[in-house]
Amino acid sequence: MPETWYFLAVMVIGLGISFALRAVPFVILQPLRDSRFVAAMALWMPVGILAILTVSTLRTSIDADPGRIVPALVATVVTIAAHLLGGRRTLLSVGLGTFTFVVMVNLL
Amino acid sequence: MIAGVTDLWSDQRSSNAPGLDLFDQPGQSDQPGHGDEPGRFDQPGRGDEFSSWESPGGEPAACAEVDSETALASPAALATPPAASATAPAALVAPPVMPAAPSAEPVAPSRRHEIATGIRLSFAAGLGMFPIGVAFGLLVVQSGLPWWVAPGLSIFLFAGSVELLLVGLMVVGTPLATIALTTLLVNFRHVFYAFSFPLRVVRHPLARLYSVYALIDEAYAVSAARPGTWTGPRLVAMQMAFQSYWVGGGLVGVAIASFLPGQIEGLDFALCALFITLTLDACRSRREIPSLLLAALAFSLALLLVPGSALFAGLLGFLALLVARFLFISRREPADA
Repeated sequence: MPETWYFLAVMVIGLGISFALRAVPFVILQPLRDSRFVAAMALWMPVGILAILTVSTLRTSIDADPGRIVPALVATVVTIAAHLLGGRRTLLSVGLGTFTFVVMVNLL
Repeated sequence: MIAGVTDLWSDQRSSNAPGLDLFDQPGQSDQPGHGDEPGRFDQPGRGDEFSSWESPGGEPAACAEVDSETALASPAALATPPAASATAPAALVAPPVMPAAPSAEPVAPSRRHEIATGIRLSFAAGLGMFPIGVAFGLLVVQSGLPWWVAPGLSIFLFAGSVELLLVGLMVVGTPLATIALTTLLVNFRHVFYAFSFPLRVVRHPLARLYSVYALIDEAYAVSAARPGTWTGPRLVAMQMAFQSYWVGGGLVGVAIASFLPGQIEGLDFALCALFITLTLDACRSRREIPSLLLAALAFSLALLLVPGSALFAGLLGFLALLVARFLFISRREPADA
């Protein structure tokens, strides 16, 4: 477990980056708005980054214990099904998926 | 539909500077129903693009139910213009919601009323933020991190999904460079919020600073759902309400965790589930498939070549592939501006 200074460093870095991302565009709004590159990135980036994060977090979760593969797969299916069939309610999907996983990992 | 929005937006480009004080006029507020009067606002005709934008073919995600995390995917995901070229800057800032005509409200309401309204408007999204905040607090403690990391992250970063992500990264002592890159990429969507976030209605410099700091997905989504209706107190009150739900939820989660007899294994799956839903929300059409394929390629290569820092390398590789894609497309269609 890392030390206090590490956590503080993460927080400070996080604050700097997050605030910069939110604030800088207000200052350079015009060039950003006109930029084709920015527009293209806005279109292309989100789904890819989110997909990478999804697979990465799944992999981290499974790596912790190989016995988690089946619960992870089942819970993933449950989450996807709940989201697509249940009206895209984030809380519901996340809740059901997590609940499925916790139950399977702890009881089975 | 999109073509019309494009025209409106290109007319307005010259007048925009939401971050400056040029448009601060005492007593001025974005009042409902006035969006159609050009010149009434600091951005002439700004209300028009919303009220004349009748049925965008429905991205109701952030409209009816301001779901906390779907807002993440909404702005950029909804910037997929069916007709216009993908490079049209206007598409970038297409409002993420289908706005109903703003309901008529009393003119020039008191500050207290505005604050109350702001808080009331935060309820819908707050309903999702609080439980996820609790889950976050639980996760922090159960991962073995010190309890103060939960409110610490929530105050320093104030960005739900990246905070959840960082918990897992911090536990294993991920290098700060990876943390920085991950934060940059996951929060990158915030860059696009400035375009249509009504910061200009917030006049006090400190309040303005806070409003920028607290420009989270939910704040953006709720503000974009009711364009032209925001005043400084209302906006900041809403954002402060969000922060209290989030930080409060985290603290409650931390408190609950201290009472739990043992570990509840598997809570970290909440993060995976969250990202699954966010990806699903971001991927709403076949146009997203090339990006998905590039991401899959980048991450697979990263797993093969640098399994120890697959996330970092995968994200970087994906960005590089996107840049290459942009250059390739620009070269092919130089006249398409």
